[in-house]
Amino acid sequence: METQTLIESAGIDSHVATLARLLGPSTVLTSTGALAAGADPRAVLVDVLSQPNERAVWLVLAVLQGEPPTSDDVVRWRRRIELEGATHVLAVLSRGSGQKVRIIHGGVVVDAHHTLATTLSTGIQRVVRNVLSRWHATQKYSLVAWDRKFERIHLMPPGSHAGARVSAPVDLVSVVPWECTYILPELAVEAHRLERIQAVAEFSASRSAVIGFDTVPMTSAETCGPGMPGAFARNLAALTHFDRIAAISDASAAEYEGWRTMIHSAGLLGPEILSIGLPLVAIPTSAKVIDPRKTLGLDGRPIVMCLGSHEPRKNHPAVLHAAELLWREGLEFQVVFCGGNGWGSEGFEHRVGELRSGGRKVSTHTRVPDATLSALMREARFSIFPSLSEGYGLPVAESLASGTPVITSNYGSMAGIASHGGALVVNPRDDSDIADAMRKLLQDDELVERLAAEAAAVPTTTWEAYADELWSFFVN
Amino acid sequence: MSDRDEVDFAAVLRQRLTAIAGVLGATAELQAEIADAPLRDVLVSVAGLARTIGGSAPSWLLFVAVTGCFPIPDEVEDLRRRLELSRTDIEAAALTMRGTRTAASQRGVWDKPMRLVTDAMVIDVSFCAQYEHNTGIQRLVREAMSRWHAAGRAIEFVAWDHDTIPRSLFPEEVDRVVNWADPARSRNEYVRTGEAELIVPVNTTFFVPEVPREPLCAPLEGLAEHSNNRVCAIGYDAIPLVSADLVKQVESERFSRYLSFIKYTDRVIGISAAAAGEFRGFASAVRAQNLKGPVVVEVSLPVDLPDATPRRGSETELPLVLSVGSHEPRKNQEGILHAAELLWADGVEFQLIFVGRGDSGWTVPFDRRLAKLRKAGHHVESRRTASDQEVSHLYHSALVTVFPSLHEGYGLPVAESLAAGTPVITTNYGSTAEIGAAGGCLLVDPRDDASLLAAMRTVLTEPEAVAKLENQIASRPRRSWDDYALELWNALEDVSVA
Repeated sequence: METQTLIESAGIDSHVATLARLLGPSTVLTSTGALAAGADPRAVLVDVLSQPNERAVWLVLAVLQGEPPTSDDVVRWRRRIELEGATHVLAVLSRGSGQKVRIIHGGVVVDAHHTLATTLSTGIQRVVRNVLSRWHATQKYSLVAWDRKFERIHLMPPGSHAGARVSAPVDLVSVVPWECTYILPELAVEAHRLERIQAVAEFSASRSAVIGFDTVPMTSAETCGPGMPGAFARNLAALTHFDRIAAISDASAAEYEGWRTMIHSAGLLGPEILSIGLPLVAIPTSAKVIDPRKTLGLDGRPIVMCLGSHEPRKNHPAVLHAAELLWREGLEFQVVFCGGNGWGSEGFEHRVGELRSGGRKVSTHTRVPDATLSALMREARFSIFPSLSEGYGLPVAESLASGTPVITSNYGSMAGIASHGGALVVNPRDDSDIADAMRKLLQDDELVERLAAEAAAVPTTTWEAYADELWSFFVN
Repeated sequence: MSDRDEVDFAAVLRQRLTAIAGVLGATAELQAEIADAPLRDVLVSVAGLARTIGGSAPSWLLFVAVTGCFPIPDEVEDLRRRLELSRTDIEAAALTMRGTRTAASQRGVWDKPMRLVTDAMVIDVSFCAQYEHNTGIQRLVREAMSRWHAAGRAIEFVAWDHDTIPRSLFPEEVDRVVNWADPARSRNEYVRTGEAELIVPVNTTFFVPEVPREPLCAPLEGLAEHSNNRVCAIGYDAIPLVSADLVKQVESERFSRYLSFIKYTDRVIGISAAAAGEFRGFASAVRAQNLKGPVVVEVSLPVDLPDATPRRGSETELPLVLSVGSHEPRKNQEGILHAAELLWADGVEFQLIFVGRGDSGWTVPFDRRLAKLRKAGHHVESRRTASDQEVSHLYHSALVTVFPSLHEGYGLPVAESLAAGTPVITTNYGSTAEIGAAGGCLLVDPRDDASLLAAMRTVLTEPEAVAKLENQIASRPRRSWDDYALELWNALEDVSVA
């Protein structure tokens, strides 16, 4: 449905009338979609429920109980209707208080719960905020989030995606998406939320669509902290009922396609998967002039910049090892790591300590503001990002968009970005390959200049174009 | 276990270092030289060999010899980098000891010599060797291993010692794997005679036919990724990942850790086409990381022909509908009960028995419902602790077995029921559909109660339909455990499959 109607209903009689109108056959409706005069809404609803119809059960539960049900709820109540009769079960369900609900009928619903609940702006949140900022300006949709217990959906103020502060819902009325397009632009890993999202995808007569970032917790669980692989598996189970996944790169699409092959054994077909690559954009800058060396306490030696949190997948111990090999050769440079401490970074930190006490110039920085990062990226001789697995590899794109050469992995999304020029690609599992590339860029000024020129010539793309393409895949 | 005070730790370390020296390329001259040298010099020579060769495999082996435990992948990388940064063999030895001392002190086994196995397939049968338990996985392992053992194949069974390193089996454990049914063997899990030695596979095949416990996944990953062995595994299913909505989250989490090991294996043998499809899908997903991923081969489990025991009527006057399987949402017992209630309401009379244990969170409310139905006059019960004999008796007594599971790697109750000559109503996709394709089964959509209801009604009300299914069972192609054991061996050894 193209257009969106918000139907508000309060009180059991109003709920039953609304449900009869939405679920009843055309024979009991007028040409404007109202219930025909003389039609008894309760009788219409009993007729609808007397045939096995899990979508109808989903909507009846969502409206009469004031919260979107789980798939288990739907099956359980459908069975109860089959055993006890629709009249009786509808009477049982009508004992509730009939609290007000808001049915979003048709159009687009965007569930950005996690992004709206934080002011952080790392990886996924940056994607969500940039996409929503474009959609906010150009498209019509309802922005929603969940309550604390993930039992109800609430309408959020339009434009509350910016992240300057955590937003409160418009009001506490329970929202019911029906016959619409339900879009999940973020990674949802909350088990209770996923239970109900899965039922929305399965039963709400809506098209459901999601951005697929990567499947790292499935394909590289050894690089994830405790809890994530299990939570991510629950996410994937919900996605089996979705209609569309927009993967952020070809590599990510290949991962999701592998997963879709796996679910055939459970008699499931899974969603359509399309690769829509993230844009190639620079880190946002500020008008203020920043001297990154002064701000971060760096000396005049050439800077090798390594952006990303310290987690096993990012392969930072290999960067340290390659750097040590080159320091031993007598090369002069400093390695600057910018990124938070992820899970499993003890070995990395220990090694940094060893190298520093051996007099090596290596520094680690956390919570560096975007403007400083951007200035540092431009100041660096080159950046290095030899990750073992990435859905996209934002720092590679950011380096190129800043006109800074980058060393990155010779496969997957990173190689895809590097193919535009301005990069050297290496086998990230081979320390000497990494060291060779670093040596070249430290010693060969002409090569650095050529790659920098290539990087500067790489056509950047925009968040706007990405968001438009996404909308068109999800909605049109 | 021997008294620790009597162990000469230095002699143990010397034995291990000497054992790996040859693999690391020590000349006969050097080997003779270190035989009499002080331990310190042996260590310097062997660490020096690993340093000279470079790469992960020598680091993996050196780590195992020095610590007495299998390293996780990061530990191998760390030692490899330390050796690479060493300027002399003495420095290599010092950095090796420094870099491995945490692992050695926390997980190392210090009191056992080490035997390198190069000419036999090393098979990890940890669970079957140590525990008196025999359901799904253990039955497969014991049926196949006893046949390989009897055929005199070049195999070496191992079990993990305190989750740190594989060791040889005690004689009681060997019996527990290959002579399970022998009435004379010891059933006591605590009886062990003799001594075990540590087993280190070198340049051979390491085979994991069980699903390893979580603590073993990281060291197995280290073995598969960094040692020079070929590592193979049996792939049972990917239920905790694919059907994460039907299992506890902790199971999905554990399974993901297991997949980190599978990712680096060379070959996975799926127990059905459906299971093989799951592991193939996973292998194709990891190719995005520029890894080969395992080659996946399918060797389906056998379904034995009906045994000699004749089928008999039910214990009561009523036809028996049987449901066997652990009690959990995935097995869809709720769907069976719902269909049964609708049939009872229609006046169809039959007895329904559920067999299988389960989490009390699921079984207690379910059994309460069964009690209510019994009060209403219906013949329905659950048997949570039925013995093997009792289950076999029920299979032979039932009119039909109902197994509309939402997701299976294989579906043992389907095969067991067919082996008893009893028709089965089961799921129309995945592994159960594969078994059903050869006859004797009515296939239904387990997500559609109406489909299950219709099949149950057919079996209960149309004797000719049951007769037809019984005839199909009799003419199913024969496939035995002998066939399976042979095909499994060939699937592991056939290097032309890639």
